[in-house]
Amino acid sequence: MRHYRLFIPLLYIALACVIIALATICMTTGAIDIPPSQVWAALTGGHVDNRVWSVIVTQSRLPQTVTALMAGAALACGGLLLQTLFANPLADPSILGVSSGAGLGVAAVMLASGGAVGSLAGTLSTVAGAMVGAMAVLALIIALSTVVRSNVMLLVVGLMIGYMASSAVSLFSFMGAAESVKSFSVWGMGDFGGVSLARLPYFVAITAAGLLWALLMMKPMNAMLLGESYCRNLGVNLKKLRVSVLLSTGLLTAVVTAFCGPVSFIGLAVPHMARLLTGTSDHRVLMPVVMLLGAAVALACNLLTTVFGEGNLLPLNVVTPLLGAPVIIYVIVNKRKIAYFN
Amino acid sequence: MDKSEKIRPCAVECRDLSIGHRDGRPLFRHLDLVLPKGEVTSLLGVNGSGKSTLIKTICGFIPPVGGEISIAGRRSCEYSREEMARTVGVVLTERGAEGGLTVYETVSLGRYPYTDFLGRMKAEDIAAVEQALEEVGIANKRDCHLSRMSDGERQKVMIAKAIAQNCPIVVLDEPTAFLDVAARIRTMELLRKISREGDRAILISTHDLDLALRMSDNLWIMSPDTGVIQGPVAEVVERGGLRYILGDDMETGRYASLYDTRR
Repeated sequence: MRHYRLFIPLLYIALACVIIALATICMTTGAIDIPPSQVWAALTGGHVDNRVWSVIVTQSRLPQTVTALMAGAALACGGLLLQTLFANPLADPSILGVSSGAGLGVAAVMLASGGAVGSLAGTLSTVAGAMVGAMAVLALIIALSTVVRSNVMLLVVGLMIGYMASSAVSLFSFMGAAESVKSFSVWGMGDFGGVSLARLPYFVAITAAGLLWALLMMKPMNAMLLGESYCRNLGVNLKKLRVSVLLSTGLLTAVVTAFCGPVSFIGLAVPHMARLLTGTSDHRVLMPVVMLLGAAVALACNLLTTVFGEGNLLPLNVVTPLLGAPVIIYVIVNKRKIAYFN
Repeated sequence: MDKSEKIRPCAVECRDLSIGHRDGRPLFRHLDLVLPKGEVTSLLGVNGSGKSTLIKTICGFIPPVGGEISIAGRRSCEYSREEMARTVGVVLTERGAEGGLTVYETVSLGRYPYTDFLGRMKAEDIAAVEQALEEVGIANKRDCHLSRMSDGERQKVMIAKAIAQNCPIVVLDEPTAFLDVAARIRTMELLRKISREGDRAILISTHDLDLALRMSDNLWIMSPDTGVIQGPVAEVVERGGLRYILGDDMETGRYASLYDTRR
């Protein structure tokens, strides 16, 4: 632990610099390049040479950048929590079907309301739908985890639940009105740009609450690494911890899924990147790094969606697997060399 | 028989204890057991005889079906979760996802019941971890990841965790199961040493009859017919307690006398 003393603070600083740099690029580049000084002026209420710039910065780029930042941190944190809870390095909200569950909830709300998600009430009911769907899947998986002892089998069960949710979603789309089906399938591609400035405070407040909740669990999550009996012997209330992990992960996944769509691979890959970077499984070091790294990766993915120009934005879920899947393949290929596998 | 051994203060005392899982019939009834301080006690029994149920009950993982357990003079049901964590430390065969933790980080988890909600270590916590590392003899490997260690070394780390937990009672479930002969002897020596040095009561469940006879002070032998036979090693052997693990038939029964003459 002693050799971390210098490395970890430096890592925090480096990650913060990367996030600031990526956020600056997100704010300044796009269909129209805006000089950083003008972006700054627009944000701080100073004099901006071009009125359109001011609107672009505050109405479009600011919400998108902040959303990417928070969503990345939230998804990565949810992945870390589930990987520790299930003692399985391949656990992740999207793999375990939690995102599909949230998607089912969103589909139910969207298609029932005829695609009217523009209003605040529509947004809140979408979030509530996602939350109910995500929680239902997580509760089902936790319940099954007492019967299915093997973690690999449990992942397969999660995949199956995900397929069932997707199939229900397909059924809804088949029966739904064309208008609402279109808005739902656009939602399904993932997008950090879907949160308007008016709704941004809600999104930030909910994700921040979820992240804070996760940070408060750093200590018992460490005990969890030793396995359930050791964890209990150290005085941890296991039942309470499980429920707490379930609720916080459900909250983080649901709110991101409701606002940005089912974003894949960030939750799975970022905890691995953070462990490789820090060389530890200690959550007191790992969890803040996972959040910062998740934010940075999400910003990078957001930037990559614009590689073909602002006119042809790539769907977010085209980019995230390209970044995430190689990390997982690297980790599996080098399993024997990597310390946190046994 | 040394009389002083009998009046040594005991760490755990079970009175009229019945154990078993709540749904089924109790496995054992009316057990009266004494775990002495400052000594190593080995729990022996054939597979399925209820060793792990007894151990889980003493550790507070499952409640007793009947009777009571008194730990350090207080009834176990009066202990809060945190108090229990400071009183009984366990070393198990169970493996989690601890491979990515260093030795120091793992042993530090033993301070879990003492640190604040962020797990920050105060000077006394650091001192306790350092002492545990020294006592077990792995201080030189403090920055090693557990994934890089042998089974014997991992066992030592978990024993150090239990020492850092500062418990007067340490319960070990088959601590020598996966070890080679040399590592088994070293582990038992270590357990003897820490029982003497900290006046700790050590309870080991094991199938290793030879080591149990040579290196522990007391035996608890579980037998489905007569409950648990307990006492200092020589006394239990004299009373023919080994029959219950070796069996009564001609083939294995002969070996009971073999162990008799050895003592």
